[in-house]
Amino acid sequence: MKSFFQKNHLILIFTSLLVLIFVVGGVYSRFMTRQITFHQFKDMVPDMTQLVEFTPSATVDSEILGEDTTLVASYEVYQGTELVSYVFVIETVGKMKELQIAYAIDVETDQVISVKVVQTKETPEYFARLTTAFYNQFTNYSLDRLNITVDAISGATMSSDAFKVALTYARLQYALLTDFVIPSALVLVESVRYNTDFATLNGKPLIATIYDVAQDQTMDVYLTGGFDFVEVLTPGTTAPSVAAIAELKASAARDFATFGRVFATSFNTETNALVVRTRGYSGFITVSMQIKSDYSAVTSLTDIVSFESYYDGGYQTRGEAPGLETYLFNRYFNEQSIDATAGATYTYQGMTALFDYLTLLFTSSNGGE
Amino acid sequence: MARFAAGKAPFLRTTDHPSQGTRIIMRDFMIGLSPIILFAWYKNGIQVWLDGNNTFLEMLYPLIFILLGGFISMIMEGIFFYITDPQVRTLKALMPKLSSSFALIPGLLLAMVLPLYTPIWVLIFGCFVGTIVGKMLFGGFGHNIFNPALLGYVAVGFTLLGVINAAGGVFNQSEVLVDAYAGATPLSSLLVNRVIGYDQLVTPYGSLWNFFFGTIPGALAETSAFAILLAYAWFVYRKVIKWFTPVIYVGTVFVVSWVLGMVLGDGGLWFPTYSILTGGLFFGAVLMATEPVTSPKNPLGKVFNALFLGVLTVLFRYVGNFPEGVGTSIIVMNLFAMPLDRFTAIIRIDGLKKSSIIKLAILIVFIILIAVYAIVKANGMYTIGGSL
Repeated sequence: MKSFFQKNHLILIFTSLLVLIFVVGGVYSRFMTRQITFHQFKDMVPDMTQLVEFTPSATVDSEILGEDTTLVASYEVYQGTELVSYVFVIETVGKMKELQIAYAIDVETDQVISVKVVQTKETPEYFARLTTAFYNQFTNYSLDRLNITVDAISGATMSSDAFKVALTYARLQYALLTDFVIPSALVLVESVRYNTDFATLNGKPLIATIYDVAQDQTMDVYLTGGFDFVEVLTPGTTAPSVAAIAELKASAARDFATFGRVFATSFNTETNALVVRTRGYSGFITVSMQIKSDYSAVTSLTDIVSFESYYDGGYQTRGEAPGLETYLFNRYFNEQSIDATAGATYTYQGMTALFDYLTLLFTSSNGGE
Repeated sequence: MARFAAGKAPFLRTTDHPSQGTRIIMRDFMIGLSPIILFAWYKNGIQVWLDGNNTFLEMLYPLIFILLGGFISMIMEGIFFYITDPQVRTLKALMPKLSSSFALIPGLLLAMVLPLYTPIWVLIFGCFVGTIVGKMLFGGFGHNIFNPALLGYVAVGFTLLGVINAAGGVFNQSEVLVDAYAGATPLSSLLVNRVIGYDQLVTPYGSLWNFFFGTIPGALAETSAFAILLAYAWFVYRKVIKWFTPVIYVGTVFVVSWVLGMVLGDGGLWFPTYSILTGGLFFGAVLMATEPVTSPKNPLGKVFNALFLGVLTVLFRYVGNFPEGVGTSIIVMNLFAMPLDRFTAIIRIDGLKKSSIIKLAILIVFIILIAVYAIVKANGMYTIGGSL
């Protein structure tokens, strides 16, 4: 043994050194890899002390969001020994493939804490349109909601949508890992339109077509201008549950907000007194008027209540509010052209929306004439 | 009449180095490498540590990794000598062999061109391919056809790039936090988006000064043109390399890239400047294209070798699928070093005769054809970027 070592000591030393480098270097490399992952995500969760990569026991079915959207990596985030959040790195498709987005989800609040783009091949000039404001919408974003919604950025719509898809995946994956339950839909608001029937207009200026998930029935319902449920319009259907009605209001207000800009607040079928509200610069402008008995036109202006603020360069010459509003209404009444008013853009837009609404009411109730 | 040396390179002018021969070159080479190694350590270790983005152990890693490359290379060569030569089975007999064989260099250079997060076992593999396959199996120092470090680099790049990326890739601990990089180096950004524009290729990484000083993402020691220029100045001063090879190589890339930019519709000087400051061009031009064993020996051969390297780099970089182009070009020209050497040597012997002018013209036409092909081919592959 001794002679063997004496004879071959050099090759043994060299080989041992190589093995030592392989083993110790391997440990060092592994340490570095773990650390770079930690550094990469450490700004996503405050006071992160440990980041542990793990392989989830179950992953999201590829049929749900397609095979292009996959889970790249999952991490448990610890503060001390306490598990505080999960980080999911999702790969999906924006304008280009291989867009990787990481979402950090707080396990206590079920909220997205932060989002980070890990890798992108998106066109830089378009991707750069995703500003800080875009990313900020994910801060404290509650997953306990019916639909994942992301405010898309004009010019980077496909990239914006990719964030939505990736977040949807992250929520599904989060639900698979924890006891978090994804809210299911009680009611789906399919469309909203104006009620143009003067016989039922009072207090019911909007009509929504909805699908009641629990009762598996589609129906039309009356809504107030504030999207509150009034009553069912479709005969033979049962009213939605209280929870569904609450969801209906939120959904309609979010997705059909333009209908809340101008609407009739009251109509007296005996006196033909119509009150319409429209949104200006400083809240609603309320216009009361008399209309013809055949619902074809306005007969007289009764009152305008407005809280619009003045702007010297714009409608100073029209006197204080509702000077401009009255002027514009009279031009509409006299069928004169209505030009944009510099310095009072919001007031002008609110009033023209009101005129369009009146035109819609009158033409609809007279066979579209 | 011109005289030509035959046999294995390098050929030393004893008047320049009267006492120690290759050992002087080794010492000078190590001195020249030191600013590059130190910058690599500073950029990927010390600066990140000062930023508070890594630990002490992580801070040491870049330096240890580079030095380990040289050490592994030396051990492997030692084992090879031990096995193949019974006369060198003692440390006393082995050390002069390792020293005169520049055993340290292949692994050292290989480690310098690899990404920071290359696992050590990948480095060992690269050193094995470079030192054993690329150098010792060809007969050792002076007999190798390919640059050993580059051969190791190409082997790793073609086979284990996925492993390196999975282990962390090229970005250091500070760079992963920069959203503007979006996971791409300046050249990979070009390859993916195929858009040539200052705002797309330079702005995310700062300015061209960042490119010059090397504070951009990239392999460990290849990003700083400034540090490499310091090494270049030292090498030229000590006559370790010929001054004109890197100048012609970099200059050719600059000019052809400039023409390419003009053809595409952006004639700004930023683009050729970007071209020469990315992809390890300075590193390859100063430390690999000048390697005495695998490049032509006579000056005219070196000139044409550098010209070919320049046009091939543009071709591989802007037409091929691998972003840097430097390593591939040098490996390709390693193959042609001997014929090019002979061809240009004949031209030198013949002087300004009709036959030598024709030979010269053939070489020049080849170079122009490659450059024109690269420009024409790349013309349809890129678009000019607008302002962000």
